[in-house]
Amino acid sequence: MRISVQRESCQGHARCAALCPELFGLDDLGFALEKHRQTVPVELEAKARRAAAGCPELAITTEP
Amino acid sequence: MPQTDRPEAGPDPDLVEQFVAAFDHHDPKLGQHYHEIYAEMVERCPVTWTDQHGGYWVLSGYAEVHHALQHHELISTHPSVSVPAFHRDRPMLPLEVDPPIHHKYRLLLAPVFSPKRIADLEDDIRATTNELIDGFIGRGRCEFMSEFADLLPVIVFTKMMGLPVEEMARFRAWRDAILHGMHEDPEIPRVATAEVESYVLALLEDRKRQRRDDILSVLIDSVADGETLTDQEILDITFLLFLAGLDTVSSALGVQFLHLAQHLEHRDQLVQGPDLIPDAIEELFRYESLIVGGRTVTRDVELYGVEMRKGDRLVVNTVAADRDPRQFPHPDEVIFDRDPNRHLVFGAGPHRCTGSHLARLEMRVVFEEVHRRTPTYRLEPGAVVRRHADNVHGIDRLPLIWDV
Repeated sequence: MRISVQRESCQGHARCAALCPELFGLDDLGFALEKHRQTVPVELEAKARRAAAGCPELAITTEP
Repeated sequence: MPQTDRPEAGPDPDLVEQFVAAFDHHDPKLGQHYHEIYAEMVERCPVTWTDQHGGYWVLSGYAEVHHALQHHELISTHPSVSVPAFHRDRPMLPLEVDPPIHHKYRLLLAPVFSPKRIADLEDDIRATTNELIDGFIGRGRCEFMSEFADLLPVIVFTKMMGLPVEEMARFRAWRDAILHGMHEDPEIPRVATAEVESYVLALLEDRKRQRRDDILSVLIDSVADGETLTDQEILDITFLLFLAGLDTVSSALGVQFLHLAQHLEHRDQLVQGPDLIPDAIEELFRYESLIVGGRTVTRDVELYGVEMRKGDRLVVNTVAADRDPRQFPHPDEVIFDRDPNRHLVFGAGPHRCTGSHLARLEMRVVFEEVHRRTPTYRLEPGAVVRRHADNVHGIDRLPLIWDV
């Protein structure tokens, strides 16, 4: 699985960082940063999906 | 017999029909049963028109509200987020202007309210929370709104803004006059606004001579588009912070503790498992959402199956949307680990509440301390709790008792 944050849609809710701090960080203004450039570890896939589903802007995608 | 906030005491069907036909979010009769009335509107008319207050669209469905929040180019916060429009003739900044100008002001506030900066306030918020609790814990009872919920956010805000804490009673009086005074006399908010502005201008002069570690000092030194802010721009920002930061958190505390005080099994879950608190707060944000926000349609456009005209006023009813069954299965159930929970208490789109991190921190700290120190709190038997709708929904008082 790979995760991707659409920065132009991110409004800084920071829900992703709250739901899955292993994969999502925040910059100094509170906008989302992906912490993982590579494939998401299998044990974090469920949390990654939860973080994507939790974004009020639907700015995060997971593939597959 | 005084009635408590119980779902079985449902609204008069005629009242429901009255609001479906002619919605008015400021009508006091809406207050006690707004959840039930909104549920009807979400089902029957998620997009509707009312002739009240000069006429406005009412969006109650989640999909419609969410779209409107994300599409400022069609549905704008400019010039006012209140229906009817607020008495002030200048837009509050950055809320009542659109991108790209909005972005310039938003960037000035973002560092002050960023998650990292806000996290630094935790110890202070916890200390203030405990001081307030110390004031009534031995008594075994309190009126939670006037003795706690109305005070904590004002204290926190006052310190951040660099206003003297000794003057808090004055700020609360101004806040009440500005937000609620119009029901008595439209002059009241006008006079209070002028007083707030004079007061802040005087403080500004003081901070220009000597900076302090506060928001006013940050704003004086802020540069946007290569220019410092004018005094008027600083006032427009301060006014928004004043309005946005106070009633909202107080109301959230009120409605959330109302729920818990009447559903002791939920209270007990939090007492026994404080790790649940952050998720519980998110679910209670959804279940007891707060805001009906005003907007203006920017051009003639067909949206949500209706023809809207440029200049039409509109409200996004996020309280209704946050219980839309099309978005939230079993919307009238509190499910602490509900997932996903894309509630709209802080809005969405470019005007997402800048204060959301501060609000969440305040809520979490209060939940932790109340459940730790007064775990047996419950609604005082016979208590009468009145809800109101308006722009920021909430309750008037919350008499609680606990074992000492």
